[in-house]
Amino acid sequence: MNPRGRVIPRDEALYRLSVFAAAGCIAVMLAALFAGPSTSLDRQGLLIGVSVLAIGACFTTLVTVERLLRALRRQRAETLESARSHAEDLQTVVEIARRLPGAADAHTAREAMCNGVLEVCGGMLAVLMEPDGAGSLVASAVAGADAAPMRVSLDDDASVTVSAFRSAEPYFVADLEGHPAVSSRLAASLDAVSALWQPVVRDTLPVGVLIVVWDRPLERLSERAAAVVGLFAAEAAVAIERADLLSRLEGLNRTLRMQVEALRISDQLKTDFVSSVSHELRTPLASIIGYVDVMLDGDVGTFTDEQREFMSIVQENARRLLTLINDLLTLSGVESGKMVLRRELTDLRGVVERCVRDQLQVAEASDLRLSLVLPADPVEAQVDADRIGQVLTNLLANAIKFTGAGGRVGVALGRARNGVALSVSDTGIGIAEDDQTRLFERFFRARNAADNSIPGTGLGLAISKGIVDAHGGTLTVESALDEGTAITVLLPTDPVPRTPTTSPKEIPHVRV
Amino acid sequence: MSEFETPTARVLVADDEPHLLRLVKFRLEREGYEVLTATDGESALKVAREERPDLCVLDVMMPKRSGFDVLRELRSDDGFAGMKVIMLTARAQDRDVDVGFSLGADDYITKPFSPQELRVRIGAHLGKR
Repeated sequence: MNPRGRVIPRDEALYRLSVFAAAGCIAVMLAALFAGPSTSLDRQGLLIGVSVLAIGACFTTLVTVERLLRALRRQRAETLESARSHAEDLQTVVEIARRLPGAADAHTAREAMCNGVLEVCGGMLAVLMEPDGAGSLVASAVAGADAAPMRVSLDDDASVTVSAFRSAEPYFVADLEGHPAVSSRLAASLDAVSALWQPVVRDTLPVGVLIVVWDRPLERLSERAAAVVGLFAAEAAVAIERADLLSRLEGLNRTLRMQVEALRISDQLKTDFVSSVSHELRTPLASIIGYVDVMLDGDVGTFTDEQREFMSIVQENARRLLTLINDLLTLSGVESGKMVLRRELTDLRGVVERCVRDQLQVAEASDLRLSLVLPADPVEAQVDADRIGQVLTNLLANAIKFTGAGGRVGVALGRARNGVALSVSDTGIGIAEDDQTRLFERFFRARNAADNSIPGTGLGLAISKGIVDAHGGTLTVESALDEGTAITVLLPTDPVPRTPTTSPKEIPHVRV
Repeated sequence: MSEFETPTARVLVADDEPHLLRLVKFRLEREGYEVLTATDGESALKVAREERPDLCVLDVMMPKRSGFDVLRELRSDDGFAGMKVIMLTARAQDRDVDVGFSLGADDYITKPFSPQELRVRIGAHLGKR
């Protein structure tokens, strides 16, 4: 009950009492004045009258002051109450606003929004209806009560939900029971009394309708409730959009992960394929090379010179085929990142010396001068000596192959910043600038190499680069046509391994 | 030849490729070894158990049981502790080599093999010069 109902009549009674008293006094005074000459009795009466009048005036003043004070107190209380209510609204809105953007997914964001509306407006049910992309509005989130799955066709012109959605204007019904346009099912099943349809608008386009239902009659929708629901709807549009974007991003991420996995599997298949094909090719080659070896050794009888020459040609070509298979296998390992490096602290001088010695005969046969510059002190690095030997052999073989008679090939080893530098230079045919960028592609052959019918597969440099990369090093080319080429390998002394390394074991590494 | 000075070492060669098996047998017999043969993993294991050769040369990809399988069996039996095992295979990838050694192979030779290499390695493992 309103306390003012008790206070006002009491004030009024006192006030009236004092007015009556004052009027009584004036009446007594006037009676005394008109009664005739003053007597001591009259004087007394006058005195009493004046006193009563004074008391009445005091009373009146007192009562007036008190009424004023009460009114002031009441006003202060109302102001406080209103401020507190505003503060609460604000706090709720802040609370919801804080919760909405943090919602993990689109559905959570929608539910949080519905719950928030109920919390602030004190309704019994909040439903968010959104277009399903198939000509209907369906409930995407519900809060407060379990409502049957709701769906309304966008063609349903009688539907309040549809018209609120289309017009983007809020619609309020104070008494659902008597309203012709509202489905009786909604009202009956929920004991609903009043309801508000608030469109959810994103960038001026309606994206949904928020329905708030009360189980008590609201004669009219207060401005405050309308504002709060409107605010929520606006807030929700943003949060839902954000959550939708997030879930789309999540979907894209999932697709990407699946594609990466598919690629990984296809890469594995490719590696397995290369591995098994190489096995299938090596097995017959092993017989060809092995039996030709036996015959050339003279273990099963002697050949004529011509027979020996022809068998040697068979042998040479079988070995070429073997080299190609080995290169493909190595390249497949390099590309799949499955090449296992057996790193050990190695004095590279030994590796370089060995490789150069192996090529000495070939260089001499081509009438080339092969020079080697080695430092006096050890040049150590954590490397797979066999692999680095393979790189140097490739580079040297290229240098010799592409340098004409009378040319020079130089090999130098030395320390560089944070590592060691190994370079192979020649005075050969050089590489055109256009070709230099593609030099490390597999099967790529420089134009002048192909034009001059210089044999090769275009795998050597791709393999070399792969091996150097796996060591965390770099391979650089400097070249000018008809002047020569210098290829420099930089290897870090103490590299961060890029590929898993196995513990160094006593492995007599074999290459046939 | 030296077989008259030292007792002849016995070598088991297992390979499912008959041509290659014959080639290795031919080479090893020329070196003076007594050569036993098997064409699959199961019979290789049987021969190894019954004949107790000094050294086995095992192909990896064989029917019934792989060379790695045979190696694993042999290494799990203390009775074969002194038996040398060399893997001879066309599977030349690093990880295959690693598997071979981690299972306890004494050596690993890839096909096609050089006859000199086969001779030298077998000789080294049997303590021959």
